[in-house]
Amino acid sequence: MQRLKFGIQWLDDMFYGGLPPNKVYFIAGNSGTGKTLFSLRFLYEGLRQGEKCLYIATDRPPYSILNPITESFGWNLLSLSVMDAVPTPSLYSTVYPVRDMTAKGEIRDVSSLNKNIEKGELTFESLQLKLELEYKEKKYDRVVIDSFTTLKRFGVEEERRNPVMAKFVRFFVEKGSTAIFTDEGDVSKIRPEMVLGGGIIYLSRTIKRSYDSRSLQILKARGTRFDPEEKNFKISEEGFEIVRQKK
Amino acid sequence: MSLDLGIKGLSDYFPGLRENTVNLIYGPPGSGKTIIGLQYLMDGADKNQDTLYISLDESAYEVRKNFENMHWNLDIVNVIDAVPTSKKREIAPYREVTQVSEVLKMKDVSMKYQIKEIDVFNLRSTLKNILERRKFKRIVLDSLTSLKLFYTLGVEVEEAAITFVDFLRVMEDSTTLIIAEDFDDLSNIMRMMDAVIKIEREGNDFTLEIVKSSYILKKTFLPLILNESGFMVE
Repeated sequence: MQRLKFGIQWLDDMFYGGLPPNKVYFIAGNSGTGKTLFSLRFLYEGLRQGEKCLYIATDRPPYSILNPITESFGWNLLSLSVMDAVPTPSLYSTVYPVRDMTAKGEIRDVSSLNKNIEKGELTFESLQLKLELEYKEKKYDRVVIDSFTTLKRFGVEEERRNPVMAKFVRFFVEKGSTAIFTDEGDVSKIRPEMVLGGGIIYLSRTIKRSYDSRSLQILKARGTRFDPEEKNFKISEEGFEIVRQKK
Repeated sequence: MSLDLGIKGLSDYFPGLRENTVNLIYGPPGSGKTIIGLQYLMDGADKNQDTLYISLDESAYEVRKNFENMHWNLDIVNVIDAVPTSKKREIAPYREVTQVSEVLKMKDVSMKYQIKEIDVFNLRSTLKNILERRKFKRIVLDSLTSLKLFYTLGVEVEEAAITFVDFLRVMEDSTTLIIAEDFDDLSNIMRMMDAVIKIEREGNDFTLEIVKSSYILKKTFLPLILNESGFMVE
C-alpha cells in the first residue's frame, strides 16, 4: 500500500513507512507543542511529491503562520493552497456562537495572500459545502485544518457536535484525501476524535528554566503497524531531530 | 457450549464465549480490540457458522483495507455497514424506522453503498428486521462507544445504549461480542455481560485480562503476541 510521508525519517519509520492514505489523523497537544509545524511539514512533503495540498487556518490569518515558517525553515510553500477561515474578533461576542465564525472561505495560492478579509459564515456544514465546490475544480491529496479545536468550538452547536464531526471526517475519507486536524488539549478532551481518527499523534513539551523537552507519541494508527514508544525530539533550522534517550 | 475467540492458545485458559450470551471487550485506542473481534468472527466462519460484523467506527470498506496486510481471510464474514456518508450535509434527529442497510459479505463491500442517515433507533430496527429472517451464530458490534457518541442525537445516551445492548442480549441463537473504548463509562453495560475482557498495550507488549466470567478460570491475566496472523497467547 502507498504511504504518505512527513519527510521526517524517524516519524515515517514510526508508522512503518508513513501514514496509510485516505484517513483523517489528529495531531493533539497543548499550545506550543508543535502541532502546526508537524502538519505543515506534512503539506510541504506533499508539495515536494507533486501532490495538491490545502491548508485551512482558523486561528490566525494564514500569512502570519506561513511567512515565519517559510523564513525559519526555508520550506518553499508557494504552490500551497490556503483557506483563511479565521473568525472576525468582533463577532465573537454575539449571542449565537455557531453563526459567529466568519471567513472568506475562498481558497487562494499562498503567493496571493493579503490581510483583507471579507466576512462569510463558516460552520462545519458551510465549510464542507465550500470544500465540495472546491473539490469539483481540484481534488486535494493532503489537507490540514489548523485548528480543528476552533472549528469544534464555533462551527456547531454542542448537542449536535459529535455526529456533525463524524460526518465532516467522512467527507475527506470519501473524497480520497488524507487530512490532518490539529487539536488542542490533553487526551481527555479529544475522546470522539480518538474514535474517529485513523490515527492520533500526541505531542507534549516540558519547559523548566533552561530545560526544554519535546516528545511525540503515536496513540493509535489504523491499517498499519506503529511504534507506540514516546520519542523525544528537538526542533532546529534543519527541522525535527530525534533525541536518543539515555537508558 | 462455548465459542472460541480465535486466539491461538487461549482456550487452554479460557473456554470462550458462552453460547447465547452478550460479552464485552474493552481497552484503550490502538490496543487491538477490532483485531480480536474479527478473529472471533473468522474462527466462526472457519467452522461454517454465520457471522455478522456491525461496523460503526469505520466503513466496512475501510475496515477491510486496514487489515489487507494480515494473513487473514475476511471474505465470507458478513457485515452491516452502518457508517453514514457525508453526502447528506444536514444532521437532525432521525426517527424513521425503515431498514437502512443490508448484510453484505466482506469481499463485496465498497464505498459506493453507503447509507444516508442512521441513529440508534433505525439501526436497531434494521438489525431486528435482519435477525428475524436470518440467524447469525456470532455477532460483533464495533463499537459501543461509537454508538453512544455518534448515533444518539437527541436521545438519552446511557438509556439508548442499555436498550440497544438488551436488544442484542435477547437475540436467540447469537453469541455477541461488544467492543468499547476504555474511556467509556461501562459500569451499566458490564452488569449485563456474561464475560468481560480487557485488553491493554504497553509499548509492543499486549495483555488480555478476563475481568468477568461465568467459568472457573485457572488464569485470568495473559500476555499476547501480535503478528500477521493476529493475536496468540505467548
